[in-house]
Amino acid sequence: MEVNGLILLLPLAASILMVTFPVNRFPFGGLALSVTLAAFLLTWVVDPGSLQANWLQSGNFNLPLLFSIHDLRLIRLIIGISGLVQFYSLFYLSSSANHRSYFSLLCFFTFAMLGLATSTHLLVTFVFWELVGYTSYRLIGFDTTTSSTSAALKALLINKVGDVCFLIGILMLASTGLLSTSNLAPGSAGTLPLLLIFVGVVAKSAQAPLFPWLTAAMAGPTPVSALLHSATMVAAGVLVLLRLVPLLNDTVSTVISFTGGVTLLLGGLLAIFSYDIKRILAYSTISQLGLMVLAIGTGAHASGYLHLQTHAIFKAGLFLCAGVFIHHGVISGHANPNDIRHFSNPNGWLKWSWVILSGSLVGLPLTAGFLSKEAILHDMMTFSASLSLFVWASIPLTALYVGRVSYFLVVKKTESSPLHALLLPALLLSLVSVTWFVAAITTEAPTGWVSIIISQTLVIAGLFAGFRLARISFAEKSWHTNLGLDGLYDKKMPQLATAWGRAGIAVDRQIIDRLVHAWAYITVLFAHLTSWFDRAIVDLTLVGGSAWVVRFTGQIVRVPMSGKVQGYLLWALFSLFLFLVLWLLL
Amino acid sequence: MSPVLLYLSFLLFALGVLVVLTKRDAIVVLLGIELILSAAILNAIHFNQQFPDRMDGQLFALFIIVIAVCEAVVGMSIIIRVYRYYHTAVPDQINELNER
Amino acid sequence: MSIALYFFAGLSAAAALGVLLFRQVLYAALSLLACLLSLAGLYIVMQAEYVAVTQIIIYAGGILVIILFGIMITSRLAGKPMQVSTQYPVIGSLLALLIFCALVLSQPAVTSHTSDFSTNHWQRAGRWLMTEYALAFESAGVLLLICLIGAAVTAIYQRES
Repeated sequence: MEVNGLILLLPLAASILMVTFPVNRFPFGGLALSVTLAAFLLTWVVDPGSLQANWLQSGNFNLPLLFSIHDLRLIRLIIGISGLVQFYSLFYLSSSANHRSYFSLLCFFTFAMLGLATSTHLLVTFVFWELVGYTSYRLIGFDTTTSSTSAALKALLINKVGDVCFLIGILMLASTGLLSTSNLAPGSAGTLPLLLIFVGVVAKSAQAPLFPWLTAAMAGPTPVSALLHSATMVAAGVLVLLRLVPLLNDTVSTVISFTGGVTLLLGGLLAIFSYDIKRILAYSTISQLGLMVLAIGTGAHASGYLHLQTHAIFKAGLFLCAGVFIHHGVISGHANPNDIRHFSNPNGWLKWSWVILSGSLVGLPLTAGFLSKEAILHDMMTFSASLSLFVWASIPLTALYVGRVSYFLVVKKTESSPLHALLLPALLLSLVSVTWFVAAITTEAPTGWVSIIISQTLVIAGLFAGFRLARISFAEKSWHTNLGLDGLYDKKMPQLATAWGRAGIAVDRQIIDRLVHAWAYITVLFAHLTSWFDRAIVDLTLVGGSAWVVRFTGQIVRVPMSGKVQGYLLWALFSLFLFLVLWLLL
Repeated sequence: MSPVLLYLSFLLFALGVLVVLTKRDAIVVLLGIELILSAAILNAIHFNQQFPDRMDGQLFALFIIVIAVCEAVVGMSIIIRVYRYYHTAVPDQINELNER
Repeated sequence: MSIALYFFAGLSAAAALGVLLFRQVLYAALSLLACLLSLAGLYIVMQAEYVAVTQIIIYAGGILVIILFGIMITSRLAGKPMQVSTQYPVIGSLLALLIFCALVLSQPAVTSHTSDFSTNHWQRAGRWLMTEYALAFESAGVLLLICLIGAAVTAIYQRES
């Protein structure tokens, strides 16, 4: 058990250590890498089980830190990709960059992502969800240029929309006591909380229409894009969705499926018309995440989960390859190093790893992607033939943009610069992809030869069409704006917010202020009334009246009290007379 | 027996009351008190005539005289004392009991 | 007998009226003396000789002397013969009249039995005093003593310091 917790705590400790480290010039990257490696090796030591600790306990309310260290493959994936990205960053990052904060953020991200992936309590999940979002925000804006800062802000704000909905959904679930995701009873939650949580998933996993932040997030360093914005963090939404699978009802499933399907096609379409390699990969990520969401929505969550893992590998690898291209472009002194038209291939190894990884993306055999994609296809055909049309449509679409990009990267001439350390992670990931296929083809072989043959045909056709398409050049400005969503989020939303704020001010001035004034007026009026009442009724009538009565009776009573002895005697004799009269009468 | 003795005692009493009330001199007030006491003595003796074999009324009259003596003596001494303090025997001017 | 009674009654009433009407305090005191003496005569008529003699000795001889001394002292202090003014004349006489009327209205019926003159009233009075009223008699003596001392203490001249 202690080892289980150590996996989580090691990256956190490293992150804190790096932030608080007294020396500025220190191989922070090496420290991060070694810690991550240690955590990675620890995954073979742990005994799978759940990890529990009490965080908050107040009366009946109990907030346990619940972690499930069961899915070691996912944990290894996260730690492994983190490690590779850290290794990659050692060479990719310029020496002038702030290594301390970069690597501490990476380590912190590893911790947060691991917590997110293993926590089985929704509130704890939300905490890590937010931590991951915070790390993403910090890393997107790592360059501290204006564009990257505004991109980070955009990512943060769009994610916040989802976060708020997510939190509301969680709290609504909490009222029904469904916070622990380890043993959920099927269909016991309402539709609304699940939809709200799904909004959070939409934001975090960049589904339509909240995906533009992911393309903006490409302003961050390429390794960060590889780690956070393709492989792991964006998959967090899908992970949460997977947890809640038992709760899904038909309405929610339909919403999820259509959102995923639309995102799948939209991402593919947008990827076709871009020349920026990172944007293309971002759209591809959006598209593939849509595929996962679609799979989960239709009930093929096992294959969706499988695709999440394979996608993490090949998309991270693709990003790292793209990073090599970009790095090469930067060194060669290109004005626009992200543009695929200017790419030149520095090394043959890179070409092959790109081929393998993009093959995995389209789902060619001998790659891990083949396993997951065919599995999804098969499951979708089983569960819902109509919704599988989305997938069928996406297969040539994916092949189209992959073919188009590959034309620029692979078909072009190859320079033979020496093997750079930057290449190693990508190579390793392509190797993993192939190994996975080889290892799993016997046990997890996809069934249904007809669909495999058709899909493979579609893929080949798409690839060739992509090669043709690459020769046509587009004006990419209309596509550059994410179908106008950028304009919506960057211009219209602020305008809307401003208008809303103005309306709020107007309401405040015209209605609230007047109400307040009216209330104040009423209060003053009432105060006058009460003061009048106080003066006229209480003071004059009651107090003054009683005083007057007392004074009056006093004046009457004091008449016999003259102070003269004979005066008293007079009254005494008068009373004697009265007694005499009384005695006579009786 | 005519009620003349009763009327006499009533008259003495009423006159005594009148003197006590109206005279603005303590000594005269004392005289009025003597008149009232005399009325009482007269009544005591008068009522004793109903019971010829007893002498209670007469002896009561005797004791009333003794009381009257005491009263007169003490009253007189007080008057003299007051006169020394206030230089007046007019009860109105000795208004210690009045509210200030 | 009846004539003597009416005479003394009238005399005493007139003397009492004199007490009321005299403005000079000395005259009022002398009028009271006359009233008391005539009352003593009345008592003799009413066969209460013992009381009558006591009345003459104590009232006329004792109290009046004290009062006269008082008048003398106060008038010496005032430096002029003492005059007395009246107050509440209307209310006082009204009240006195009312009380008189009330008393007249409430008068009891008194039937008097006159014993003969042969009875030795002195002897009877002495026997009664020494037997049934012995305690009251002694108490009266003590009272007189206390009164004497008290009056002396009260009236004694103290130099104002």
